[in-house]
Amino acid sequence: MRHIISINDFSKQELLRILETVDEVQGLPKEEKERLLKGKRLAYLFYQDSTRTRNSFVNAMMNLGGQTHGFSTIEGTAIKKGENLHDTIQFYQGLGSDVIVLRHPNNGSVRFASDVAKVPIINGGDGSNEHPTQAILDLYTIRETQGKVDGLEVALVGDLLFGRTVHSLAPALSMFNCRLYLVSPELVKMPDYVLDRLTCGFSDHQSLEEVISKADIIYMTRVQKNLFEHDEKDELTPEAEVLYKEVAGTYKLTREMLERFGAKDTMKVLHPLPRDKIIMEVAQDVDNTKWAYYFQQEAKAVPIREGILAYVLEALK
Amino acid sequence: MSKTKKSYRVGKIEEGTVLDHVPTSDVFGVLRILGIDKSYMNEGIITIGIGYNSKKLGKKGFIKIEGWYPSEEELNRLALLSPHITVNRIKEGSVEDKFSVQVPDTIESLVQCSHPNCISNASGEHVEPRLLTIQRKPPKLQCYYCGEYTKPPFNFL
Repeated sequence: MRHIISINDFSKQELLRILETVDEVQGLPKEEKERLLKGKRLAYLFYQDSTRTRNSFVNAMMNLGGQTHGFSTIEGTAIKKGENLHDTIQFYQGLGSDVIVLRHPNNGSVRFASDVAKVPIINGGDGSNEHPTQAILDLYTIRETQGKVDGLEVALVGDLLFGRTVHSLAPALSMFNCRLYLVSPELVKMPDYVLDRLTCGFSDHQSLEEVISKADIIYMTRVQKNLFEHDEKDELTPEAEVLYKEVAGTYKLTREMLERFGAKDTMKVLHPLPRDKIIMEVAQDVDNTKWAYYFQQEAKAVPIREGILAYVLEALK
Repeated sequence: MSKTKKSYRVGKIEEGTVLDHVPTSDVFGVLRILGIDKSYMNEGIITIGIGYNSKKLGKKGFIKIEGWYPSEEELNRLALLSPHITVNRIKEGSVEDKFSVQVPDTIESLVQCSHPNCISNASGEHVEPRLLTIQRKPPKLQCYYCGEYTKPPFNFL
């Protein structure tokens, strides 16, 4: 059974196979594509807010002729009555789900769910740990913009401690022997357990400016306020408030910076989106430059998830 | 018993397990990991010594458990407290087996994952912690669920 829990569970060859599956699904005749997952059912269990991940999975399933059920908030569910994750997974299995995509606030929750479930589990984001399907989307986009992934120089910028997308993307890029520039405030550096998995060259930086001219890809991230520690009233704890204020707004990439610090003509700025409307870590004036590629990146969310669903459900066999 | 300075104040045991070279501060931790508390139902006598001189540790403790042979797996969990602990299995008054404890490959339901947001620390989820040993000396454990590292001093459940 094929789960997608952590990017580290995959080899480079397996990741390339998933990217191939994305292309194969897109290359299917319309009628064949629309019945690829006919009779299959996706459960989407989203304990936390999501726009892109949830909608792209739901749309992907419907585009391939499948059905969906689930929840996008725990309001009004048995979870509010105290049901635990184990029992919720059991329930959705009992409803006949063929695959479950889970977003949950606790790190490691999706690994636990995969031990409980008898159907494939896809990690839609587990706390601050990982977001592997975003990394697959990012790999696909990077290859599209640069013609390859191998050996590229990639800057990962922002909150590298709580940012789950970069915890999946960094090890994935390492498999392609990329050179990584890890740009973050000292307080939110990439955790050791992620760094220890990197076999590629990498270096820490606090200045974004110093890596702009070197990078083939600048991957900006939002400071994940929701992943800082909250108290029972769902407000930031005093320690988390200090940390958040220190970190938020450290990096703001502008058109002027890209011009002044000599960004390569072929360099692309990516962002898993959404960007923070107050902080605007990628300024709006970047949107119409040759460097911006984040809207094209997000437009791939559905085809990538179509490929991922076809892969885990072994639909192309 | 003789009152000379060199003599031990505790006698040999005929059958059971002797844990030696236990750092003084870890003696009660060893008892806890072995489940020796007020619910201990074995009939054998348990003798605890604390404050003996040791070349290796400065001061050491020991625990003599009569009539009980915890499994090697159970005893190896003690290495999370101290790698110096040695085990002597005594049969008919002689040492039948002697070994130093070694951190096991997997530690389940014993040590808390250090990541406060790990599913194994979430109240009500009933997920028992499961840590994988990635380095023995000094011990470095990795959470099976969330991947975070946990290092000494450990939080025992």
